[in-house]
Amino acid sequence: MGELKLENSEQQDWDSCLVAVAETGDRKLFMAFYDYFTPRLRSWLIKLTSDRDLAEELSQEAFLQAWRRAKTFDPKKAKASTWLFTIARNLFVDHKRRQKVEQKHAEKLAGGDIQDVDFGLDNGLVKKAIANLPHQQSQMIYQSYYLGRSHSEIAKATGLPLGTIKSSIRLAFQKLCIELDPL
Amino acid sequence: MNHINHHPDEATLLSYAAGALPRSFAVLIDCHLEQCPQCHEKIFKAEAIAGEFIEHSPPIEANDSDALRDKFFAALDAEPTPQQLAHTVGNEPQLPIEVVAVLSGRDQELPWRFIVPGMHSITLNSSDLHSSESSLKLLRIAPGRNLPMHSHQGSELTMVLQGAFQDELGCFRPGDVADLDHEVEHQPITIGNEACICLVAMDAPLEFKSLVPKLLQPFIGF
Repeated sequence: MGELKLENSEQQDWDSCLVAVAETGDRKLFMAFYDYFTPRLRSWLIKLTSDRDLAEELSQEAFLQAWRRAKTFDPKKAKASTWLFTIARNLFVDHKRRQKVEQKHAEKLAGGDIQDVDFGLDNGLVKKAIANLPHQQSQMIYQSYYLGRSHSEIAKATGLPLGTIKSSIRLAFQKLCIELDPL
Repeated sequence: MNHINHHPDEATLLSYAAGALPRSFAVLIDCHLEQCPQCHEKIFKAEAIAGEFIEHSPPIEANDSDALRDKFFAALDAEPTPQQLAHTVGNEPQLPIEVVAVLSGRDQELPWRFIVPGMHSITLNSSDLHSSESSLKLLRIAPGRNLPMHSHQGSELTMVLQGAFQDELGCFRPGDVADLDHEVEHQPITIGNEACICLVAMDAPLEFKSLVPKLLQPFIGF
């Protein structure tokens, strides 16, 4: 695990990296994980929170929790990236509970419209899977994962009926499961 | 474990995994997941999709990344190693105490509020469960009673905790979830000999079809 290639996730087995961190407590090895995922996690958190400072704070805390919980990581249950996502998501949800940003979030939607968004994914299976979705479905997936919007919030922002939003997300989810086979 | 016939919409499970559900809806899904490995699997898949998004996102360019890295490494250096942290903090969801009371057969101890004959409710209004955006309630309906015909202005999730009810969509028993929106118009009626107790998450008031329930609506809190 000593020779880490940080520039390309495909070449790096992050699951083994985390398992080794849990076994050895190697801080430098953990920093390799941090170096790869921090700019990516922050990128997602900035979109989700619309607040760079908050995104930074949540990201730093997510990595500290990842370190503290490294022994609970089980590569048979989830990939390292999924595990890190769930830690960061839970921090975001807890933050929403504390700050009651749901109301502010809803206010931001007033007069909002659905805009073309680019997931900005690198070339690979995930990018292809998103590109294969009909436009409306990919937009709903973006609004859910990257903007953290509930179905009703998406309805307010887009003017589309709730039933349409739910069926778009459901169909997109089913297609992504087939294309990405995420488990 | 109950056999579950009615599950939340996969769109709702994806939003739960994305952290995008209102708090009250997420708590109801937590209650369902306690009893439903099938939906747990779907949540894992939705989380794995998010993991792929993050792993394959372009790294953000930031001028302050070196300073942040130094700050993080200093914080990391002050931490014990993972092996020294014998008791790691779990992240298991805590179900509301009122729900736990119903599930353990102690519903009579709860402060039920009378709505109309045969119908009582409790609003779970701990600070993080009740907001202008959504609400979470327990509803207890006596055997043989029915709710007036209604539809929904927004989303509604209903999970049966005890007893059973039937509507145009089928029969709902403990663990089952009805995932409804304004396109569904229904008139639930309890079945069996015991009261039906449901956990109900809504992000907008119900829309009653007849005049009397409409007039009563400001007083009954639905």
